[in-house]
Amino acid sequence: MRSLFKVLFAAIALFPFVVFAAGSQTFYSSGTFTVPAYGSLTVTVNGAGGGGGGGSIPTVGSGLRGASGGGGGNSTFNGSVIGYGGGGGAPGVTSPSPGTGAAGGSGSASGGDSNTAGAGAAGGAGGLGADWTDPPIYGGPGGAGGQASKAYAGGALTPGSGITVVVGSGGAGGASGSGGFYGDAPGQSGSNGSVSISWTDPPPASCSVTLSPSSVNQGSGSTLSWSSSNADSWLYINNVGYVGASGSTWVAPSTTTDYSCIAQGAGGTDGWHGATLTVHPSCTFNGTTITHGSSVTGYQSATVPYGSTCTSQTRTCSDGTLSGSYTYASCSVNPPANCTYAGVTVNNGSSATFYSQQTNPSGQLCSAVSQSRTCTNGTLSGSNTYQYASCSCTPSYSCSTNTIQYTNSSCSVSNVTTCTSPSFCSAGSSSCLYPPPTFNQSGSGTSALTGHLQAVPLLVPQNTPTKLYWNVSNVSSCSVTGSNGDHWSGTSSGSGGVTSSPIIQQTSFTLSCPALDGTALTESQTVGVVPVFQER
Amino acid sequence: MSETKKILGVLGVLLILGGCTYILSLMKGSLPHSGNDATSANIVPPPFTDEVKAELAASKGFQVLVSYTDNGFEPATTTVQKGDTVRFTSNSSEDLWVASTGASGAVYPGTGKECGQSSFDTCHVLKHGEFWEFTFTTSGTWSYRNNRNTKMAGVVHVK
Repeated sequence: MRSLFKVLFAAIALFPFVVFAAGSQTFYSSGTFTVPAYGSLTVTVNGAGGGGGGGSIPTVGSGLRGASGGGGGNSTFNGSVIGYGGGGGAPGVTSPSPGTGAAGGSGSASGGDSNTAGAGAAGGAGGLGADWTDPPIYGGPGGAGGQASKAYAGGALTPGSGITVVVGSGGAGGASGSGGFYGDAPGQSGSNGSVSISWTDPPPASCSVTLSPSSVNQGSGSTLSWSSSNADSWLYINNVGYVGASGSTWVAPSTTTDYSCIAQGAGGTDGWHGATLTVHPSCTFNGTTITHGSSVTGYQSATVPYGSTCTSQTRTCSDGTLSGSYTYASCSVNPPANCTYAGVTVNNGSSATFYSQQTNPSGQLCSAVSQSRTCTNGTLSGSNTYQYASCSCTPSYSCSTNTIQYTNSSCSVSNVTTCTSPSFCSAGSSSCLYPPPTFNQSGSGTSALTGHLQAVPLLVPQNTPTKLYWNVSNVSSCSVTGSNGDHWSGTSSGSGGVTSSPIIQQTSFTLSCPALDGTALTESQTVGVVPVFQER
Repeated sequence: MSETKKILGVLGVLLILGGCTYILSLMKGSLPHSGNDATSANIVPPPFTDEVKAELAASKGFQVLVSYTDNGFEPATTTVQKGDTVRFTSNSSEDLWVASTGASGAVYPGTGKECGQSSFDTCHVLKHGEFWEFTFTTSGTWSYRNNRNTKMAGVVHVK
């Protein structure tokens, strides 16, 4: 049972509750007011009342008059909020006709939000005087003091400071005339003034933080501004520290940052007030920073073959994450490929000569076995039969329109000489050639001559000449020499031949001709002698 | 009715009263520590010491905040106008000692402190949550670092 009550009390203690505490203080005498922590503070200053006038004795003749009441004292707060005292009442009037004395004037007021004359402390009542024959004569009442009220907003007065409070005393009552038969009484004193102060508890301190803008990309900043109310103790902003009551600064955190604030004052605090600067992180792409919301072009590969197109995609950074997947920052199209064949590189678009044989037989030029092949992006045109990058020639002589030409191993052709007829050139010969000696036939039938050296007749009687014929061409000269001493020259004997000396004995004739081709032509004919038979 | 039921009944009444009081207090906005930001619920401001009071009393405000985190100074590079004040706040788990280094040419001029060659020097360690303000009155580029972790550095450009 006891434990149950403990729980009950704990529950009561833990309940959130608010005490709207306020304070008040009334000064009935002068003093010093210590300003408390407050929300609003109201002061009511009442001036003192005046004293009542004294009563008068209505006797024969001039009678006996009382005295006037004294004026009330002024009350003040901080020297500026003033309730003036009321005036004292006048004594009763005895002449020319008895009557009540005039009332004291009401005190005025000043310095308040509202200033009301006569609303302060009450004045004293007038006294009376009475004789045995006439009615009593009253003194006039004292005037009421003035009242000034003023409200002070929070902060107008400094908590803890002292403020002078003056409280006016009530005016003294006027003395009555004395000697009356039925007695007499003085005027009553006015009431003392007063100063009443009441206040409410100060409100809790509060603060606010704003960020402009409230979200930034990484690397950018924002203006942080703050303000507060009733933060007369301190103001704290998370990640900034303690700050003054208001202000602004530039902040540039790298990540999303909390700038909540809390203020503390005489009235406590109303707690934290949130403020967050959202920082959108950047992305990195190939060493380049891409801010949130920005895009970059990514490529699927760094290079693509000639004739192809680079494939790209737009990659956008969103809070540190880059969309897409292409990883290359740039892409280029490869230049067209060159061709390498038979140890030779042929640039794209260029041509080179290739040969089907490396070494040509004599007399055949490499051009006869060549082909010009063009490279197009790595592919050679033409046939791979032409597979050699070089070709050499067998050195040789050739003949071209009677000109001897020499082809060296590099297949370079040069003219050696031009043959003049009857010389001629012939492939394979380094010099001009001459036709061989020819024998010119003539005549026909039995008289036909062959052109060779012929002796006609070949058998002659002794001491009979014979005739010799020859007709040779392609020789530089000819000579016919007989063993008998005959001698002729000339390439031809002429159509009539030449006649030898009489043949005495068998005689040999020899034709000798140096041929144009350098050979020597030699032919012989032997002429015999017909034997002579003698009888013995 | 048993005694236990009576007590539970009283508790129920108190709960209702408490709820009403709570709602009323919310309407008046006077409930202490009714933080609007749940993320701040566990934050405990550092002690409001006399040194902090003196610092605030001397402060004329600051135009730029440089926060020292476990990642270093943020921002690491700052540009201010001549006469501007920069506040350095330690939001790191490690100690912070801001000091001019001269890495960009020369140390910030001025001495008069007990600790070094430049007036741009905290001359003491800032713990987490503490701050230090410095007003740049000389134009130039001034580099600085954390003397307690010299890898952490920053630059202030004063125009």
